[in-house]
Amino acid sequence: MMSLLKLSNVSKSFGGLKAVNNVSMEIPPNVIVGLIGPNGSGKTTLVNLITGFYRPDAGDIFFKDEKITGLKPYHIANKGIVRTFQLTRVFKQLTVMQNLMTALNSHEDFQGKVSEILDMIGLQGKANTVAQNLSYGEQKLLEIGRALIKNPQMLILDEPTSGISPTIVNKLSEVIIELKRLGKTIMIIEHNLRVISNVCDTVVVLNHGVKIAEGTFSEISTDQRVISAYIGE
Amino acid sequence: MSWMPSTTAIMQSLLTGTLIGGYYGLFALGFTLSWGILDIINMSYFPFAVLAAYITYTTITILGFDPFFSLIFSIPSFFIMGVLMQIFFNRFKIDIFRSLIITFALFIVVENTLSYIWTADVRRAPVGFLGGSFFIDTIYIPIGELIAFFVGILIVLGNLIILRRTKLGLALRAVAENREASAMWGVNYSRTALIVGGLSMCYVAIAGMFIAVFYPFTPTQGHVFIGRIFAVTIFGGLGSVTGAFIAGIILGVAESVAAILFSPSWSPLVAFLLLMVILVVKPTGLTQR
Amino acid sequence: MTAARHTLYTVLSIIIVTLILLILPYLGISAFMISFLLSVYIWVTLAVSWNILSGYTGYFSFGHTAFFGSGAFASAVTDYYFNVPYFMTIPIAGAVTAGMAAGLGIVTFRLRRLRGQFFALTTVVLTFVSSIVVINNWGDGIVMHSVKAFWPFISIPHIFYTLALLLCVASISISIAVYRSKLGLNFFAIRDDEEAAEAIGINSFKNKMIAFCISSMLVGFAGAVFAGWVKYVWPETVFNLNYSLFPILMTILGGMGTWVGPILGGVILTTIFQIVAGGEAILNNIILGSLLVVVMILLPQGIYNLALTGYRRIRPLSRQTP
Repeated sequence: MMSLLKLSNVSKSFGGLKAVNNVSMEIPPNVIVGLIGPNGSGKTTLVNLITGFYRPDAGDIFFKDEKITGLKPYHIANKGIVRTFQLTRVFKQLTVMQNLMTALNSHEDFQGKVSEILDMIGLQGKANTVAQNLSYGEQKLLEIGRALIKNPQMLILDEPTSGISPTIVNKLSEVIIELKRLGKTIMIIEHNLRVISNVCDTVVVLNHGVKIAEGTFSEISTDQRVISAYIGE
Repeated sequence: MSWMPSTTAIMQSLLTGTLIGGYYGLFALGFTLSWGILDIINMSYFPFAVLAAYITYTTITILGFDPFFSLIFSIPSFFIMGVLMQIFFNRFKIDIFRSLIITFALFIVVENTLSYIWTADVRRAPVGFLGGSFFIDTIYIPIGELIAFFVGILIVLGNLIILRRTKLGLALRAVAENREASAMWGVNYSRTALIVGGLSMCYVAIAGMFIAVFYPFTPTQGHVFIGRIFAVTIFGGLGSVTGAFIAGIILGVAESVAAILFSPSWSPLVAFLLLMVILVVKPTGLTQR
Repeated sequence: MTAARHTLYTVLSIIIVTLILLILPYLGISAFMISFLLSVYIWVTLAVSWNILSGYTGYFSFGHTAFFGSGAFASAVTDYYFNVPYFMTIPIAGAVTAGMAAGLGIVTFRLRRLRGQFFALTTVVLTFVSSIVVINNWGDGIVMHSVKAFWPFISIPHIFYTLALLLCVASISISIAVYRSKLGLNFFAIRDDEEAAEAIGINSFKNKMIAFCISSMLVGFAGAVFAGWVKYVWPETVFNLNYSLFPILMTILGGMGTWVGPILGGVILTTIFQIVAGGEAILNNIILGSLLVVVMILLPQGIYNLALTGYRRIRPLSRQTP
């Protein structure tokens, strides 16, 4: 299989506005892809389309060569694509442990997996803390941990470093690189270009819903179209 | 159901349905404003309408005046009650969910208070010419319902004028669109909310007056309207006075037709089925605001 | 303490308490007491079942009246018109109400936007419409056939006491079992953030349907037990709004979302009704309506949660939230 995730001429409009305009891309397995672009360029919409929260008006989406266009979000999550949200959405009234357990299929298989993930995200001591009482950065890590415990092949992180301290940003970058080492494929939406340049193998740039560039970070950062998109027209 | 209704019967039911439907729209006005603009689903409007009916009944039987006279008492007092309720909602920052529970509790309190004061006896107010009717050809036109219909139209037109031409209307539209953003434009939400709260209750008072005109009623008279008003409000679009009125007419006609084809005792079901259909097909309703 | 032992202790406690309550009528308590306890069991069942849906998933339902009345009428109709033996009418009533819930759920749980709101108001409309339709068409009510006493020393009140008790215990057991299971965790996830739950693979439609059907089925059973107990089934009685209002108040007062809350609230409030207002329905309703408003504003987390957070301040972090 050449590509893990394939988008084929995907479009989505809201009212008169074309949020995603004829976007195609192919993501091979075991890479870290960055998705960047100015505000309003359609990044989150694209993620919503991939994960089933929106239905494309046109085009198709394939995961492991299987068409997943139009499937419900839980279905796509169970097939192996899990996402996090821009504004962290943990289960506020549940503890850290319970948050992680929601992603499992049953209560039986949790012992080893939960400790493992807790270690990875660094929240071992806080297993019984109610999620609401965690700091924002810890909640972000929890949300990622929850996504990971489902053992997805592909993880989509929507602005994982927004609103958190530099220490946690570094921890996050470590976690992401470790995940790639473990065989996962990751897509990151980010505004923090340093993180992008540190961890991403390739970068896709969107502007006004259109894919304007794709390549390594050094390639796209010197691309004229990308520069003018960010400076503004 | 082996007979087909005659043309006259159909025309009659269309007419009566339209008139009654207009009344449903009138009844829903306060409710849709409250839900659409204030984000409060106010269940207490139903027993309050019945309270207005009792006020009308008392005005007629004790003072001997015309039903419309009761509005002199009910409109100011209802306005004040509406403002007080809104002060309460504002003060405790009641969101839409809690509003449903709290006003449901209020519903119980008000309705039982009505039972306590006026007992469960059926009241029938003598209403003179309003209870009468006249004929055009063989079509029977009930006068009270006709007047209610025109009152409804008047209010809808008045509302449109307020919305388009006045500062208050601008504020209402802004708040309905986006409460936080409207604050940035200088709209004082709390004050606007109080006006809307008071105004909605005035509409409730008017609708309640007509209850006493049209029906023999008991403290629980409000129940039969709940399904209808909910359906009309959602169908017409939350916050849209025009939409509610049109939706009311459509519902009224649908009920009339169903009453002819089946039996009147099942007519509340029409509203419920309509609601289900709307939720499946187009939850945003006929008009947006 | 392992999960298995936790379960063992729970099951044992439930069995012991049930046995004690079961033999109470034979220890010579008054008929009034039996009747009072029976009403406690029914109200607790209603509150617990409401909590399983609305407390756990966060989807507020005002439909309990519709299901209670429908359950009562299903039992009465099958008994009177079809001569089904009474004990068979109980599962039938549960099937009817579960079916109603399924039908409603299919329509309302599929929506994308404003799902919680629309569900809540659909249940409001359901409650009123169903009560009016039944009153219109069966206004005179139905008188059920008497249940035959089958053992000499078990009287009719004892039979219904036992039925109500068993139903109550069953509801509580289901409530606890769900609370501790993955199913319950799914419900809580849906309550806290439905979209996030879907993003990690929880089928929210399926889970909500399960919650709704279990809840409604239990209410249907309760309606059937009530119908058999009172024998004279009138729409105004069984489609009374109190059956929607009180379970909400009881659960919120006791602590919504915990399995203890509805039991606590149910017992406390049923006792208070009895003491304060005796039979005076109107006064009852006014007081309890006002109480709900007060509780919603001042104590929305309920007594049990209040006690828990107080306890936690003294002893932080016990093993697992019960």
